[in-house]
Amino acid sequence: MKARDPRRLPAATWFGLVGALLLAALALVLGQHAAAARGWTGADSWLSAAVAALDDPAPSALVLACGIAAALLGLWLLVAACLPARRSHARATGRSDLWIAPRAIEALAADAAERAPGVLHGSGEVRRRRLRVEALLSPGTEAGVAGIVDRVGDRLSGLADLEVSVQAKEASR
Amino acid sequence: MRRLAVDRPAVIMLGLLLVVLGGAVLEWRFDFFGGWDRLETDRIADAVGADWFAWAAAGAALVLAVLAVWWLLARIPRGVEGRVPLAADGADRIEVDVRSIVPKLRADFERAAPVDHVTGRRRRTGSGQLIELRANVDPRADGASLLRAAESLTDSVAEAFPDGEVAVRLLIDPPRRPGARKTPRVH
Repeated sequence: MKARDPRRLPAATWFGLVGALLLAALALVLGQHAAAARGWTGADSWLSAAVAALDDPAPSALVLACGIAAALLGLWLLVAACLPARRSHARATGRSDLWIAPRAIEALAADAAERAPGVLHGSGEVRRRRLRVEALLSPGTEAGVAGIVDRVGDRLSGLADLEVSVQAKEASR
Repeated sequence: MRRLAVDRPAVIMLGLLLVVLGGAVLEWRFDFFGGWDRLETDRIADAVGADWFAWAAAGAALVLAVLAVWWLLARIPRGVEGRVPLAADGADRIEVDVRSIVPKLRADFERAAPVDHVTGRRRRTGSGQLIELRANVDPRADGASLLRAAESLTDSVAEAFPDGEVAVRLLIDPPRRPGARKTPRVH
């Protein structure tokens, strides 16, 4: 059986934690009502107080704020529950089961660019199938962008099939 | 954390509940549909004050508390059984404990490839197991050496388990320290 692609945890997993805490809070309110109604505690029931407040013509500012917060949190939960788990790594070529994180590709590309002659600083950014390398060139160097592209391409050969673009900027003196 | 199949539907239900609750409060304040005037608060207060409601609330609280605790605890990762039966002819039954292989593979991968901080975990795939090695790449690494190391590791596992009971997967993460790619200063 083939294993699934490596993925991050879906957002629904984290919101499952929030949901469990919400359920626990609801259990606490109901339990407190039962304890107060049976006379196990001397305190007044929170649920009865909330029901009594329903007779008011308008909710208090606190209740209104809580209501708006509940509606927003509910919408957030609905959106998060439908989001798919994102891929965490991309598959490398070859017959081995090797997967690379985009951030790792960026680190390798940045290092490769910095080793090109005349480059002071390099950084990489992976967006979908494109790798964008930004290089800061030392002033007065004649180093070409093609050299940086070659070096980055050599370094990443076989790891990822990305379209490499280089943006070079000359540092001011 | 483990992902649970119940997470998505349960989060959707809770989200709907919260949206309805928030909508009811907004309706109470701004009176969009006039529904709040038709609400018979006396009957709700009578029901909540009734004798049976306290017992019902106690029961519901117990059930919800058990559900909440289960929902929290079910996502704690479980250990994977280490033994995997190997295909054998005759009456013999041979099992291999995959837990004993993982440290060796970790050490091999760390030595052969330009990576560090290799961690290993196992997951079940059908009748066999997949060993997932995760490592932080050295930024000075090149693709060819990573591929070569990965292929030699995959080949050695495939040679040891020709029927594919145990397979290895390699996940390469970014360097642990972003500053580590600077050339070390020599004093």
